[in-house]
Amino acid sequence: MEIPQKYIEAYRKKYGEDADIEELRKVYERSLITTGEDVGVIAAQSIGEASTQLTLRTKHAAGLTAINTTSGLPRLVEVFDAKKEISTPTMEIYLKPEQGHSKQKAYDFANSIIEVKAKELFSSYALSLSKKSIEFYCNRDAIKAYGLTLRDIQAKFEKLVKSMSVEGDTLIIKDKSADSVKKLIKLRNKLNDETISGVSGIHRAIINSTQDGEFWIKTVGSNLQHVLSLEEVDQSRTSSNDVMEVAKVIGIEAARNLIIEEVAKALQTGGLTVDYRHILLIADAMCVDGEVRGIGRYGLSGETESVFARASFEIPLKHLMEASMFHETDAFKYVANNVMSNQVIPIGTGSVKLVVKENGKEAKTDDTGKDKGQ
Amino acid sequence: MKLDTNFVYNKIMGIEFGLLSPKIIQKMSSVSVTSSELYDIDGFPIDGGLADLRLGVTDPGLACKTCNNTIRDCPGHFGHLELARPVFNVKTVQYVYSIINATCNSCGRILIPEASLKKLSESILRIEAQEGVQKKNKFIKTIIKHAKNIAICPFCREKQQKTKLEKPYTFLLAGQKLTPVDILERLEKIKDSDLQFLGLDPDYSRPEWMIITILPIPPITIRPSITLENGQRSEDDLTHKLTDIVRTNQRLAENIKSGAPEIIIDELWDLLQYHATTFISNGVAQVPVARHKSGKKLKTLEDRIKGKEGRFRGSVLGKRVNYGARSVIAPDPFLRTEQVGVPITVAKELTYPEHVTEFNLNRLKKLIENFKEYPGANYVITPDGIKKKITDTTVKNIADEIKPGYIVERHLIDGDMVLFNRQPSLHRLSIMGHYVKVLPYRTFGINPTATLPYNADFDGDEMNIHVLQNEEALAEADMIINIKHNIVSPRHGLPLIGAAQDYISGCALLTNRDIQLSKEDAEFLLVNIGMEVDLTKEKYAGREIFSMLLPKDLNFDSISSTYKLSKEDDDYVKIKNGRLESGVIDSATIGKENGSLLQFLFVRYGSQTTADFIDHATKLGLMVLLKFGMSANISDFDLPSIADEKIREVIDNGEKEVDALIKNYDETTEIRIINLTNKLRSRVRNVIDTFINKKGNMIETMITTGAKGSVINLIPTVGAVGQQLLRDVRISAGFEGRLTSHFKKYDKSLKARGFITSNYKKGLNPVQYFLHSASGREGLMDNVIRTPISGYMQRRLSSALQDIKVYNDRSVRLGNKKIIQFTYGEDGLDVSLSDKGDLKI
Repeated sequence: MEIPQKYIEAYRKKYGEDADIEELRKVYERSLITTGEDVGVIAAQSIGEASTQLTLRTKHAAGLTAINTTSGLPRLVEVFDAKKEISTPTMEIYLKPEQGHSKQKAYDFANSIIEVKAKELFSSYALSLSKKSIEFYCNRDAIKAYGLTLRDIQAKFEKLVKSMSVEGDTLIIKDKSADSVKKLIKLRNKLNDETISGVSGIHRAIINSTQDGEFWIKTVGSNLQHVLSLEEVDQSRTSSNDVMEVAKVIGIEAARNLIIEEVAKALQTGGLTVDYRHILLIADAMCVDGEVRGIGRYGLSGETESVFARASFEIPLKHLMEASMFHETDAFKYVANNVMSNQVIPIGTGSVKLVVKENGKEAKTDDTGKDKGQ
Repeated sequence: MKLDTNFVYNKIMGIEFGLLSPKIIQKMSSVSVTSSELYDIDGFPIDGGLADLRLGVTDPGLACKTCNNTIRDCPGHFGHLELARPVFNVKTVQYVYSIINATCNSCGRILIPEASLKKLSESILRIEAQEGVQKKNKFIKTIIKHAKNIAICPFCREKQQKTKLEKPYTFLLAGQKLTPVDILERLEKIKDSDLQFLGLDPDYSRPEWMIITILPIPPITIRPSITLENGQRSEDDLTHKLTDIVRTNQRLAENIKSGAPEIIIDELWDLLQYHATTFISNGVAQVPVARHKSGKKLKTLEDRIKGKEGRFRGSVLGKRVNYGARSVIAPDPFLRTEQVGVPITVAKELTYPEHVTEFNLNRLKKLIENFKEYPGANYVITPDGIKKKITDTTVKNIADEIKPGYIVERHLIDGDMVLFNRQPSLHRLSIMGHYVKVLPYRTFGINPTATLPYNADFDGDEMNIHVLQNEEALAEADMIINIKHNIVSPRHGLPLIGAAQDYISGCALLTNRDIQLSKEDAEFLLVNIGMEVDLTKEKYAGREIFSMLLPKDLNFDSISSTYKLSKEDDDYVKIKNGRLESGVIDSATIGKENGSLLQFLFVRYGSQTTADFIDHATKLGLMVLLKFGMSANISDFDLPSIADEKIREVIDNGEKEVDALIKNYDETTEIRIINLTNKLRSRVRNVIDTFINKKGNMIETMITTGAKGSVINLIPTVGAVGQQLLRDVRISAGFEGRLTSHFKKYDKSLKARGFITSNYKKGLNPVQYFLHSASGREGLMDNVIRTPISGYMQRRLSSALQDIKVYNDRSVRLGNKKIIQFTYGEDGLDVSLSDKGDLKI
């Protein structure tokens, strides 16, 4: 085994450039992981055992304007599940120097990304089946508060409706094809949900500042793709806490790093120490195929080749039925099936075999299954 | 049992799955079941009945008519039942449905143009070879999905009508019901060459085999009848269901034969379908549950496999064992960490099979002769595998008989290795190897240093012992899961085994700066911890005594808990060439989940040295306290009256601040108040810190050395218990507008919302006590909910990662050898064998 560069560097720094590396090698080889070690189970147990001490409830972060994010055990489960929709998506948006160092500019930017839906700008509405129209009564104050004009709404609605007119504060939309109230209501809902300004999915944005006077934004809700495309944003530092979204927008390596980060954070805030190697291993196992897979029934556990390993985990009958219909073969190379058949598991001391040259003949390389004799 | 059978000659390399074809069912059948009756008037099994002797035997004394073995050796044999009309198998209906819709209504070909079939076939083979069966199955599901939506058969140009499935098992084609016979016809039409696109295999799973035409009758050995006390037979649930099936089948066959009206036949057919369904599963939606007369649910085939007590999780992955014992545990600091105290009564029951050799012949003979007493032996196994119990009548013969080749099951003796376990077994350190120490008590003894990995305490905890039964297991246990090899946890690289409480206080007192001991005192300490050292000087410093426990070439330095607070150079631990030059030995160096010295020793000097050191250091701590005494008093908690006044002042000011906040009550006020109560707590802490007596105060000593307790415990004890929170807010529920009737309505002040101004020493009044219990209860409830959540997460993690191991090139791979890390942890270091996952030189 080659000694990792970081240890050689640290060693040379301490003992001089031409220090004898052999001393380091001795220490390194003493500290190496034993081959055959069941590192997967060790990782699972290290995190599992520790997680019994985690808090169940999302802790309120101190401070009045802080944003609550899921933490503790629920967050851990969520990350390992690789949930498509997490309970509290949030982003940390860093800005380019020009905006990041001016409070006003950062504040303006934060306001500009908050999603404003059309319905927030209307005070009420009226449907008319005879006129086949919807009348929206706009809330002037709200429109002004968001720094918008009626024109902005019109611009957004243009693509969605055929005819539109304005009378004072009233927006009248006509749709000749609407022949039932149901259709009108459907149209109304569609228009109400239209994003007039901001980034869809961002519900709140709060300004924070670092010690060196840089301003950054924490959001409720996440839309990485859109935010990263904005000119003011420093893409290298902006991130989301949604693993699946990061995997989609940035890539699998970023998702892997995020899993490690989030799991470490969840454990750390619970006051638990778990070596990063264990977290790394789980993250690597989840990301190995280039897509993030959870650890549950529909993820890693449900995808092993061993029929018995799957059957012993959950819903055994389904797996057995499918195995027989699809003519699957369970090669007894795994832990679960060998445990079931009372055979030596291929882990640890069970992963070594005795190979004997018989009467000078070459040793057989294939496993005859008769290696357990005397 | 012959000696030879102890060796495994054959190994299961794999198991192939497939469907049973009617032909195979007939071939493996030993009897065609024709009668629904079980026994004749004499209680003898009827030929062709469900208890036919050709199906196997469950009664002692009878011989199986198929294999001629008795109950002991007959494995049981399948029979079969020819169904008068085929029925669906509930568990395959879903698959039959997709197959029917993916193939042509009239010609039975798969609904995919011929041109693309060849390419598809290649893709399937490629995906299976490259990405595994799971990916192949996924791919096939997409093929089927695609084929389902094709409207015109590319082969016979027939327009396709979709078959609908009405759950649980009614197929409809254009409003017309399709019977199993119709479906069977359709399935038989499918060509062998098309099966690969449906994921099937002509030799192992033809689609028509998914419909039951011949029912395999399970051997009687898996459904034995039991004879009740009154001589009545009680049949197994499966047998009950099978009689239903056979009886219905008979009636159906008779009606068909006699040309009964269609309606009656259909009705019976439906009934047969129902019985066949509930034979397999009793949990199908919209199918009434089959019950006993008593209303109890019948146990079906599915129930035997499913769930925690099912075949998989209950019988095959988890089994019951022999050679185990369970008892209450009790602390015994005079045992070594590696030992476990075993009561004599247990040691006489648990045995180890020792092979007789010429070297141990006499010893074992004596054990046999002493079989009534301890140490003795219980059984002898002859070379032919016959097990003989040693009794008054046999003892003489057996003692004379044994010679090399015999096995003697002797009692446990001191030094045997056993596995020691406490549930829940959350990590591998929950089962470790200990050496037996047989003691005359009734509980298992365990050294308190070894409690943390098991998470054990002594409020009634019970633990289990397992005695290993062969040399290989013994050797592996001794070299791998012996507790001494597991002092350092693989989770974070910190020692889980180490000193606590009195051990730490004792060591800390001994290693204080000015401790001098007379020769006699030094001798007392060393003799009692089991060290033989020649003492030449008249006076010894405490640190000199401690140095005698250390390896002579040890160089080490570390901060101590005491140093963290005092910042005095003399408290900083410095060991040079095995001599403790300065520093207080306390929780930071030898404590559990802390001890930097233990971790240092374990990595550099090995497990035996570390275990010996822990043994010596902890006993030394005890002896110091035994010799010199240490006592804490309630008056150690006393604060001067000025401090009490200051605390009162802090709280009074706090109440005023809160009153000011309440005047402008809005949605942020509650958060502000909670923040304020946190501030109050730290203000109280400051008062305690400045005023508590530090000289000669043993409570204070315990806190600074990390032996027990912390300043945080002092706050509610001598300061103020403080704000009680429920779900992160001040307690508010109760009566309308107030907590209890002790307060005014709509009072939002500190006291009215669960702030306890008193402390444990002064005592709480009933209202305060109630509020304190409320937030205590919340913690308990939380724990109850949390346990299953984290338990399930761990089960999923373990199941997902169980096949991952380190290969010889130190790469980490999945069970199918797919690499997930090129070097374990990116640098190949073992957390417990390195300095917490780092190299420190």
